[in-house]
Amino acid sequence: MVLTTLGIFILCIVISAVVASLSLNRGLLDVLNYYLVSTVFSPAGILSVLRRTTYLLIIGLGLAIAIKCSMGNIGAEGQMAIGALTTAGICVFLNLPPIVLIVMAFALSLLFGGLWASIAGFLKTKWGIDEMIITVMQNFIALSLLLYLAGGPWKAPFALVEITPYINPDTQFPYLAYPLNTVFLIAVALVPVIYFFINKTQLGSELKAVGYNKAVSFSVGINVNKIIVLSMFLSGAICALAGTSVVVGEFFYVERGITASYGFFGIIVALLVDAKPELMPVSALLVAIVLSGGTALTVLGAPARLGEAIMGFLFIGVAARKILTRRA
Amino acid sequence: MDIIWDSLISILSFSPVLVIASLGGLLSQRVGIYNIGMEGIMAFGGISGILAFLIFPSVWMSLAFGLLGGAVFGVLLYALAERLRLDQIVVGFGIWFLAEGAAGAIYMLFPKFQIPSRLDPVLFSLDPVFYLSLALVVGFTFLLSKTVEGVKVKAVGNNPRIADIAGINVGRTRFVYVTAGSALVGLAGSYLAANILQGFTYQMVAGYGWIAFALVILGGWKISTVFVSAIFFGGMIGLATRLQVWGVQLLPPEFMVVIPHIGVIVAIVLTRLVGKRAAMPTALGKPYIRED
Repeated sequence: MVLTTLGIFILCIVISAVVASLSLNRGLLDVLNYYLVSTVFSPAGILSVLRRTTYLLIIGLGLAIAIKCSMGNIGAEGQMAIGALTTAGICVFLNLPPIVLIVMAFALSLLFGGLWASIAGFLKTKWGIDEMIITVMQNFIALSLLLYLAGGPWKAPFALVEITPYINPDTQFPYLAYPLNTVFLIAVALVPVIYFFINKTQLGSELKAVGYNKAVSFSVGINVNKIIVLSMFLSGAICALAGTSVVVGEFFYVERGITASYGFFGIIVALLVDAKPELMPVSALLVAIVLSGGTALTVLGAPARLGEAIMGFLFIGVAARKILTRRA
Repeated sequence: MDIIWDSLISILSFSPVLVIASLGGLLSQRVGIYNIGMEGIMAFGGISGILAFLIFPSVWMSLAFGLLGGAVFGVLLYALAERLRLDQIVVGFGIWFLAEGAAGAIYMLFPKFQIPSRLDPVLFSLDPVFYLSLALVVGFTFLLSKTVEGVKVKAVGNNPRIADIAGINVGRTRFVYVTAGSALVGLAGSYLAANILQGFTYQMVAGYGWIAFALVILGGWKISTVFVSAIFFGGMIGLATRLQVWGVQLLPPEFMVVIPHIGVIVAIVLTRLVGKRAAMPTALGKPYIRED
């Protein structure tokens, strides 16, 4: 399984390099070398990979909670936007001590992201409505809310595009080494927390029980509906933290495209390791390498959406992994 | 009178996008396979159409190539989901990003391009594709409810084992409907790009693929109800665009854009409140594994 997974990643990297070398008319080895240097063989590359790992890891951990409960949360992109907006709303506009602002930003991002996602959980339990349709529609709604706020009431004075003013400088998290921000440590610290929650708590095991078999869970006295809504709440809450982190640790404002599809690519992060939190740093790192590599090739002049297409390959690779392993 | 007529036409003129795309999604789901990647396939259909226009300057060729571009991903979806039995949801995401990424990459290869002409209206100032979408709906309704073919589709979508025993080629039926369905999704994308927007943009599909996907479920997998909801939501999008052209600002434009997305959620909740249980194809999402 491990070898197959690594094989898929190497294949993805080779495919991107081949496409880039064809479209740029440069030697394949030359392009591959550039790819590796700009991702893992240079300090700047590593830092930029780790920067992306931050958000992918947080989203992956958030999605793990929903996946363990058999809920298809594909609304992480929107939940991340809600977190980013909450953070900007607090850290740009409120005039309070920085520590209060930061605590509020994190707490309210968790709360609003959770409430936003639990709409889908509620509709699922109340009327059996498919949570995937609701969460995917919520993505569009949250992102247009972001465009509205950043381009209207929250728009920075004199800005020509959808962009909010900078957050209070004292709420901006320091860099570990540019461009890697201390928010990376939050993502790393979240790994044992989510691991502990899923594997060592009563609520975590109820969550897994409901995900495994609703009827049996019900018969042993678990409040199935409550657990389902709660799983969506927690999942959305954690995914919203990715939005908080990207605002206080990278952009320091909110603008169009700030969520950068992390919410979708986080799905691969979670699926690659069967939603096991303890393995997620590895899968987040791998996906971040592919994303960073794609961006690097684009900077070189390769097609802009190459990285996105490679993510498509990666999704198919994740799905195909089971049969590849079966046949190996 | 003229203004009412004119606005009615402009509202209806968007509806083929959703009618054709949701019909495509329905065909695939009726034989048991989710097409989650519709959003991306529409984008790919769009770029295929624009590319075709550059070579053969005719909107009809755009539509034909949109159909073809969609079919390519239908074949891929069939191969991955049915032949290799991969998870349809995960594969669907893969196709979404693959198709959208490919569309974006192709778009970069040629200069930005605006199609100079639209299809000429044929009747009541509506273009032939509008009538084509109606014909497709009527045709497929007839096919699926009045012919032996319809019984076949129903059997394959609900109980492929029984269908197999009855001598129906499950694999071939699924191949035909998934490919045809995906081709229609591509057609919807090329109509959107070539005839409505008259050019391709990255954000062109704007969730219409996902709305079409949701309409299949909202309409309870029945062509008639899916069609009515597609006309309704297509009309909503058309109306929102029309109001913007007229400069009427009921809501900020960012909210006008997502009215259909909110509307779909509300509509799905309402149908559940009414309590109508939809006849979901029971084999939906499951590949057929023959036990020899």
